[in-house]
Amino acid sequence: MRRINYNTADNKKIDYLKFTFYSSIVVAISLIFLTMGIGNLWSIDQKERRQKEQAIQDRQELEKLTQENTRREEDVAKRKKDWKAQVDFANWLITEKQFSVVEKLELLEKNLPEGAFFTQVNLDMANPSLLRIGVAADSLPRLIETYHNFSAYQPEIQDEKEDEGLLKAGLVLHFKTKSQKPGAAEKPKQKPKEEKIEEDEYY
Amino acid sequence: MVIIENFFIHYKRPAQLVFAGENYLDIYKYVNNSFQKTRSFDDAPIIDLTTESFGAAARELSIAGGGGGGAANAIDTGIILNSAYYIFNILDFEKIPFREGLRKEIVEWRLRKVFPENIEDYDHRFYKLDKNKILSILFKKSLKEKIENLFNQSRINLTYMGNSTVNSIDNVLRQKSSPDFFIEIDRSLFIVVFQKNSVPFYIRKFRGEHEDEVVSEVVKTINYVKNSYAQTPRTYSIIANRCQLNLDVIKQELLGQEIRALDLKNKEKLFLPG
Repeated sequence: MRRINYNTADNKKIDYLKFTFYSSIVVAISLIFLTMGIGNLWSIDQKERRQKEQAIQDRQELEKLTQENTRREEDVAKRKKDWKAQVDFANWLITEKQFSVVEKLELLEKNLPEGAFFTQVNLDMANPSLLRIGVAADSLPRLIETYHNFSAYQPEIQDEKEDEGLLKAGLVLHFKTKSQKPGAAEKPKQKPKEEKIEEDEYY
Repeated sequence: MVIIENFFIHYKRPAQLVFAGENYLDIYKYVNNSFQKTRSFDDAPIIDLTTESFGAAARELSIAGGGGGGAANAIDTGIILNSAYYIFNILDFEKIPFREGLRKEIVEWRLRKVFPENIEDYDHRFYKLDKNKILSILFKKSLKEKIENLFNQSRINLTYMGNSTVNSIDNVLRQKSSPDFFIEIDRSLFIVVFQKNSVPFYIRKFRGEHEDEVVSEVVKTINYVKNSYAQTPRTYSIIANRCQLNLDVIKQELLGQEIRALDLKNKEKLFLPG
């Protein structure tokens, strides 16, 4: 129960000492709460500031990573494209059998007349439509027959000579390519000359 | 406003006190951290006092005690009246309004139902005892003015005017173990105050000239409390200022009803302000 402050006198005297004491308590408590409140607000503000800074850092990091990722994706796409072109080229080569040595040797064997033989066969892998051969024949008619047999391959006579009783000649044979090479427009940079030659040879 | 007043505003304890009992005045001075009785004046009923008949007491009050010195009008003086001139009511409410104005309105409305006289003639103050109870105290304005004039004319600085029962309630109920009821006795005036959980719930005032008469009134009051408030008191205390009766008769009767006496600390001065 609260104290009953019963005093009906008109001329009451306030105890200012007590008033000051209780007021001080109230002021002290208010100050404590105010300080706590300000402290709380300050710590919240600091926390929010830190979070904002962290968010900005994270965003910058993310942007950097995104840029890096884009760059890498572009790089991968480029590599993929290059690789695809190379694979396509390889596949085309396989499909077309441009380097079918067996086939060419078979043709040579089939068209070589009796009494003639090869002294050398040169295959140019960069230019598969050309074949350089050296032939030797025991007589001129045999050599002419040889030219005749290879006439389908537009033989270019490089040289002719007689050596140790044999007639020897150097020939360049032209074989036709079967179809357009895929990715012809994108010629491999390392061998532009050969590619150009190929393009010229397409019929 | 009341909250601020209760918390912040405390009134200075007067340096000396006059206890206006049944036809006598006792003078107390604040010496060595407590009030000490210095003089008594018999045949001095407060209601009939004049500047002349109050003269001797006024002179005593002009003598500096422990609480101050100099002229009488510089010493803060208080007066405590016994409950002969007071009317107490403990009013029960379902809910007590928070607003002071509304609270005053409903207390006075309830009081008018039980009090036949004009409330305007009285100095009415009320105090919240708990969430449902209000103690209303009525004191005749004419007597208040008479006392203030008396002190003014005697050039005594009156800063406190209190009541012995209210002080007793304050002091008894603040003790560690308080009785279920106490009887304040001032010669033939008896005030019985019942409490539960340190909150008074019933106050009764009566006069008695003989032991039998007083015993009968006390027993009737206890029975009334048992019936009306469903409370069975087990302990009691007696605060007797000047008692002409043999208190043993009352004590024996209460003991027979299995109500035991509880000794209170500082019981001679419980009616003084704490």
